[in-house]
Amino acid sequence: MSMYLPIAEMATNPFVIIFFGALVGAMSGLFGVGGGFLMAPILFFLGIPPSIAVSTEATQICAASVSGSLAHFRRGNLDIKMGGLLVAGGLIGSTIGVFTFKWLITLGSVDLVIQLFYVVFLGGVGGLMFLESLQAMLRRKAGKTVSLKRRHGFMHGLPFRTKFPRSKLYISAILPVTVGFGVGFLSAIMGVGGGFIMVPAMIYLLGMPTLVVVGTSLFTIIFVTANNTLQHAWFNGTVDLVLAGLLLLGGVIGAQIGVRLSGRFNAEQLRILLAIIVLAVCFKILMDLLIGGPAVQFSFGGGAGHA
Amino acid sequence: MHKLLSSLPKSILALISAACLGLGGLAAAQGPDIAAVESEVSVGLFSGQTTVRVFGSTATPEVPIRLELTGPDRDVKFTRSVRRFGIKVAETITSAPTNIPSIRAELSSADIPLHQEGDELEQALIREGLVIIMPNAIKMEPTGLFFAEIPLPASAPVGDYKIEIFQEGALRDVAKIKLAEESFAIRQRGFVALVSRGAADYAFLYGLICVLVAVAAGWITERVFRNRR
Repeated sequence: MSMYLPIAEMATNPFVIIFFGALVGAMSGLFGVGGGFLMAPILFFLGIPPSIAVSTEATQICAASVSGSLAHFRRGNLDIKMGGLLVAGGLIGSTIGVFTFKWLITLGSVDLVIQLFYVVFLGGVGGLMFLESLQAMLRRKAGKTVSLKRRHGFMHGLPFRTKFPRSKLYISAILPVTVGFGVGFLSAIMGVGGGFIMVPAMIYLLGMPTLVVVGTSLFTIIFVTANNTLQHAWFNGTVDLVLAGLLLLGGVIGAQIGVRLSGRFNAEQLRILLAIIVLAVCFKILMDLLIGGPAVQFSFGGGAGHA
Repeated sequence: MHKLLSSLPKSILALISAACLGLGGLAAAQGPDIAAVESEVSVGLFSGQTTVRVFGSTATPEVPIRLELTGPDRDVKFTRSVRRFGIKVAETITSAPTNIPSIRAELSSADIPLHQEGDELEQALIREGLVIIMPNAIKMEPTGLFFAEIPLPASAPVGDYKIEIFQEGALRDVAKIKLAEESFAIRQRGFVALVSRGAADYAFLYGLICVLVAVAAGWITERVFRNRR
């Protein structure tokens, strides 16, 4: 059985799309990340044109994030105030990111820049998360108390300090706006929700408790991906509603499986698992950069291909 | 005559084709060279690979037939991987064409290879299934009736397609004689056409609908699974 994708103008096996949608949805439920960094390479591999894949997965990530953040909101694991500041920064960052993306296209080096962004950020974030989680696990095994290091540097001396009761923090509002800005910018450039950067940033930079991080991250991702979906549909015409529907179907099933699975792991195990997946994707992209595909390649219609 | 044939529905064309090939030896086969294809191929939500059927007749069946299908033109960018500072970078091939048929198929009734080693641009298109080379894919009857099925990939775009049928070397001084030229179109229908037109003509509204669908899907899921956790 095959299904025709009207915007991608191609037929595809709907069950394969639903399966991978579920796989990424499960990751969303498990780790509180959108999973865009994994979905993009999968959709390229399935033959979906890069511009369509990147735009449409934003729709799926948005739905998964709505479902996930509502669940966390009901459990009281969502810091709305912090999320609002992250969203404010995120929307500014993603708008600037879209214009930067267009500028990179005119320079003709957008593909390379995106791949390098992926390698640097996935490698950096994955490596840091892996080391930190490994140390925490070893400390736990040795019977020592596990507590995340909260560094009190110049960042905590910034003005506009405000209380975040849910996160038990008293920090400058500039910090979450800056983190949101960075995530929004990268989201537009890399075509991802940005959770894989936001989650570690919230834990290590803002010092938020892990329990609140996942729900608040998903809350922010809703607005960033909704903005991306709207902009891509409006300006590029690259959102495929049928493909989005298939990804949504798989994603919502997977997200529920993920939430159930998350109860079986502790925070360090979850972080180390996510770090391994992030590093594996980073390694694959690095290999593509070093070894590469066929000598001659082509792309139709001037659509900007992503990593 | 071929205009009349073109306007017939696909099923009738297939019947005529099958009947002609099955019976063989019809007087029509000895007449002028003709060919016909479906006038329109429509794709719906559950459409898969598209197969285009072509049939016709020639007065000189001993000479191999060659068929060329070309899809709608599209802008293209060819790039070559070059190594810069240890990493592979895609560099635009400036000498390559920037506008080519989105898909091309070449079929022959003979077992001779249609192409010698193609150039690297053509090889890239063949690798992705956008250039289809099929020797011995045209079934030729001794009476001169011929029939072919062209399997178009799932990525065949909508638009107008052209089919040209040649006989090579039929005359000593002429390398290639065009027997017939036909056209057909791939069009979207139903929900697929609605989505396609909506995305093109009402882009902002379409984007809003996509966002609303995503939010509604997420909300419904949470409602459905809320009490099962």
